[in-house]
Amino acid sequence: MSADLTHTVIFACDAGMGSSAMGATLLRTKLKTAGITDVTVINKAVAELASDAELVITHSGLTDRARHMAPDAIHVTVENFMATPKYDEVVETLRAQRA
Amino acid sequence: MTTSSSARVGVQKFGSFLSGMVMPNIAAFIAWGLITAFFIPTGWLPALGANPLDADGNALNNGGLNFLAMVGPMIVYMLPLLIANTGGRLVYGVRGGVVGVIGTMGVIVGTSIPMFMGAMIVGPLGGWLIKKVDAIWAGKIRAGFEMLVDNFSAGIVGAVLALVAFLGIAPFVQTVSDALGTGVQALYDSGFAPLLSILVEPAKVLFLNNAINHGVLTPLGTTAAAESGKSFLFLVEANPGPGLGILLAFAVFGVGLSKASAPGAIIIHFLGGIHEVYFPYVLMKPAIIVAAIAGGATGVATNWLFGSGLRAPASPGSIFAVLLQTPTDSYIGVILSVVLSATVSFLIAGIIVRSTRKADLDAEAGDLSAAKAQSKANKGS
Repeated sequence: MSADLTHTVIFACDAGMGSSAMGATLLRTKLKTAGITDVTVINKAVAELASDAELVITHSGLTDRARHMAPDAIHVTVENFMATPKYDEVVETLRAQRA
Repeated sequence: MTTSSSARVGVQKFGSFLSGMVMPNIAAFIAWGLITAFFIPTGWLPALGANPLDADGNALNNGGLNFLAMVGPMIVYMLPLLIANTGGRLVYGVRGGVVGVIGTMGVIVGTSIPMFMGAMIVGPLGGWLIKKVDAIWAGKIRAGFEMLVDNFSAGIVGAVLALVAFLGIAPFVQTVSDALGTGVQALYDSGFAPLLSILVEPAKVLFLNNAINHGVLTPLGTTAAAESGKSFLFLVEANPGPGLGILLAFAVFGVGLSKASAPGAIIIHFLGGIHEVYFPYVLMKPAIIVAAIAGGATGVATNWLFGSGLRAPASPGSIFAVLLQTPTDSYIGVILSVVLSATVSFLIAGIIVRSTRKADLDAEAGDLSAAKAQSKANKGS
């Protein structure tokens, strides 16, 4: 894991329009609650991931493709968009970076 | 990476390339569907659609309103050209999009049907061609001549591609489109259309949902709807019923996290139209796919029985989007297709979830179920 601060979290799904938009909204809310204000959460299609992505969240069915598109990024895999402890782990990671 | 997972990645990539050309333009499909819904003779406001005819068939003046005139050009030109532009862009940015659009004009004019498939071929092809042509003299252009070379190379490549598309690609695509359309129609006429669900439902939960719906069914359905005003194809994948039934089964019979999260997932799936939220429940218990297939097939069979369908794609697959795209003569069939497919998938998924309840309760003791940990381990490679 990179020691640099992560400033952008990308939530990626197949089309970049549906589940990723929902996941990004959930994560933004959690970050706001945690008081982390210097991290931008965006959503896009897996096919549009660039190699300079920092932290990428995908469903497990899409993580292989996401790794291929952005090999250097930190990849977080979720099983269930609605209820996943992974969002809290991401928030914790970001908070720890800033401690 | 295992062979199966790299095969899956390959199929997903191709599939999302196809759907990636269509999905960013869904708003245009919706606009076309709405304008059609309002102004066709059987629509909500037919008087504003076209000049009403008197008893002798002469057009009466309705104040110059003739909105219906938009419906044809929108489906013949706007939708395929948008797809071509997005396809060209996916390959080679804005410049690729421009050449893709020019070339696609060749297939549009060279055929007599809405050219979705042609746009999905020629759009990216145009992007690829200008990418290759640009590479020939990359770095060799004298300073100050870049714009001249760029504009004329893209213009010439586009013009040539349009001619080739008109002469060579259009007849080919027309033949293939006709064959596909005939095939789908034959499947429908023979009553075997519900079998589509055997392919569609499993592919859907493997995240090929957009590839199948917007890569294949939306173009075919729009072509059919342009002729008959509606198509059942729009509901083969987008029917929210099967997913609703599965989530209800978890909400009623499930245990632990899956039971607790199911009601929220129902709202997002059924009202918001994000079907992806129910895929994890199926992947968690693969036997549930039987419920999805049976539910999906029930929905297709219902629409077949009632001759019902949608006017335009329902995207996202929310009940609101479905009802907004339902023509007046299809309400009963479409609503029943959602209700019956949800019922069938609920009953089957309910039996499966109920029968594994005890094992799940034991597994819940370890917080994360064994199945989830196992699937995580499989997918972590």
